[in-house]
Order: sequence, then structure tokens, then C-alpha cells
Amino acid sequence: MANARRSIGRRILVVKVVTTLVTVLLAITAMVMYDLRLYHQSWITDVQTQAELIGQASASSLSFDDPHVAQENLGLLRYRPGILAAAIYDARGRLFATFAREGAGQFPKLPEGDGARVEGRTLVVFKRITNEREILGTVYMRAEYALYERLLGYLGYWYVVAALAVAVVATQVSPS
Amino acid sequence: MVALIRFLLLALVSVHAATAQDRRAAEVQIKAAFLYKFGDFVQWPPAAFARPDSPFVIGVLGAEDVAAALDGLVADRTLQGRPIAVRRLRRGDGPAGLHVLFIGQAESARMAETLALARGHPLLIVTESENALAAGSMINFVPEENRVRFDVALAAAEREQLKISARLLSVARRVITL
Repeated sequence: MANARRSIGRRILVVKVVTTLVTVLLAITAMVMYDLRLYHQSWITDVQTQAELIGQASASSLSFDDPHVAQENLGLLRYRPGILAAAIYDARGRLFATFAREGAGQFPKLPEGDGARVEGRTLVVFKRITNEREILGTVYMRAEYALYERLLGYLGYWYVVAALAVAVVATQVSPS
Repeated sequence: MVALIRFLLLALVSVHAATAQDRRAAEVQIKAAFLYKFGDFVQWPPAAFARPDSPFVIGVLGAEDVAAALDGLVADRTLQGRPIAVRRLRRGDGPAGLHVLFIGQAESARMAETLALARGHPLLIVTESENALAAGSMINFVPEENRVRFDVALAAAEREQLKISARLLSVARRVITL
């Protein structure tokens, strides 16, 4: 009789722990998805803003065909570790100034219209430089895109939590 | 044989002349574009414009090729929200109504007279002559390695209440502050 009661108690405990575990994992999954989405959107906005700033600061350089200032502006990107390479194209689509970290020195032959896209583990952004009347040039930026690394990190935490939970359940339900 | 040599020499001279002409044509286009773009980086006092919709007027003295290039460049364009007009000037014309005055090389010998007429007016004076800044010009075009660059005399512009943007100064070859 006492054994049967203990068995029912364990089963109830198992159900409670499993339910809690599933709830926690669902909550973690939702948080991870939210965080990854936030990372994706905020990183694209961040790189686009950076491209816009570099573009506006280089407008006079393009207007008066002086690549030195544009080059200096791009050089400041060395303080942004996430940016791998960047370039400014003039209004005719010719490379005007470039910046690249070691091993990242390749640039598209021609600039594209405004936009952002993910290529593998990099984020590619094009941003046109305009004044009130005309297109002066285009900024190209290639940045790290660490979505998969973040996901792997979360999966690691997820695994640890799950393993701990399984261990707790196993301890509770094992016959003493 | 003599005829052949004469022909070759003539051909050589023609090619050289054509190259020089092409170079001048490119230079004229660049200078005209710069004259128009300076307007984006200079702030005139409100009194320089009679009405809110008054045109932005670029006067050209002694450089018909630059004036012609400007005509083609500014058609249907605006500057700081204003239509742009190009006015060809003759020696002795006053600066009333102008916002930019370009004095071509052909008028460099009489630059002092023109600058004296312009004094006291909020007028951006642009030149293409040696020592023009010392004479009172504000921006002077200078050739450098097949490119057109420019020097800026900041104090001369400030005397006429013109504010030149730091972004323009950053691409100037030289900025004179005194």
C-alpha cells in the first residue's frame, strides 16, 4: 500500500517536472527566436546607419573628386570590429575609396541600389549617397553576421538546462 | 620625302592640339560643376536673396566656355530650393543680384578692378589665376596632377558674411585663414 502511494507520488512528480521542463524550454525557444530576430533587425539597421553616416561625411569628397577624405572616413571603420570591408563608389559606379580588414579585400565590380542581404555568415549593405538633387555615389559594407554563432550558444545553454532537468527527474524518480 | 615629314609633323601638331583641347574641355566641365556644387557648402546671409523664391545667380566674367558648360549643367536644377541662373558679365558690370562670381583667366589682369566692385557684397568670388587669393578671391582653382583642385581664403569669405562649410574645407587643397 505504501509502495503504491509512493509510486503515484513519483508519477505525479514526473508529470510536474516534465510539464515544467516543457514550459521552460518553450519559453526559452520563444526568447531565443525573439533575440535572434532582434539581432538580425538591429544589426542591419546599425550597419545601414553606419553606411549612411560614412556616405554623408564623404559627400563633399565625391562632389569635388577628392578620394582622400572618403578614404579617411572609411579608415575610421577600423574601430568597428564587426565591419569586415567597405567601399565608396562614385556616381559612375567606379571604386572611389576602400577599407578592408586582412583577408576581406574583395569588392563588387559595380554598386547596387539601396538594400541589405545575408550572404552566409556576412551581411552585405549598399547605401546610396544623395544630396537633394542627385546620386553622388554608393557605400558598400560587408559585416559579420553572427546569427548562427548566437543560435549555437543558445543551443548550448538549452542543452545544459535540459540535462540538469533530466538529472533532477532521474534523481527524484529513482527508487531509494 | 619632305612632304611625308611635313605631313607627319602636321599630324603630330594636330594630335597635340586635339589633346590639349580635350583637356581644356574636361577642365571646363569640372570647373562648371564645382561652381554649381559650391552652393551646397556655402551659406549666404538672408539679405543676399530678395525673395524666398529668388534665383541663385552665378555670374561668369571672361570665361564663355565655363558659362556655356554651366548653362547645360544647371538647366532644370535647383540649389537650396532655388532655381539657378547663369549670367554672362562684361567688364565693369556691377555685382548686384549675383551670389557666385567666377572670374576667368582672361580677366586676371584686371582682377583688382572687378574685386573692388564686388567688395561689400555677399558674393562668393571664384578664380583660376595664380595669386588670386592674395588679391581678394575666396576660392581659386589650381591644377594638380591632371585634376582640378582649389584653395580657399576663409577670412575673405567671412568678411563678406559667407559661411563656408567645414566639409568643403576638408576637400580643399589649402585653406588660408588670415
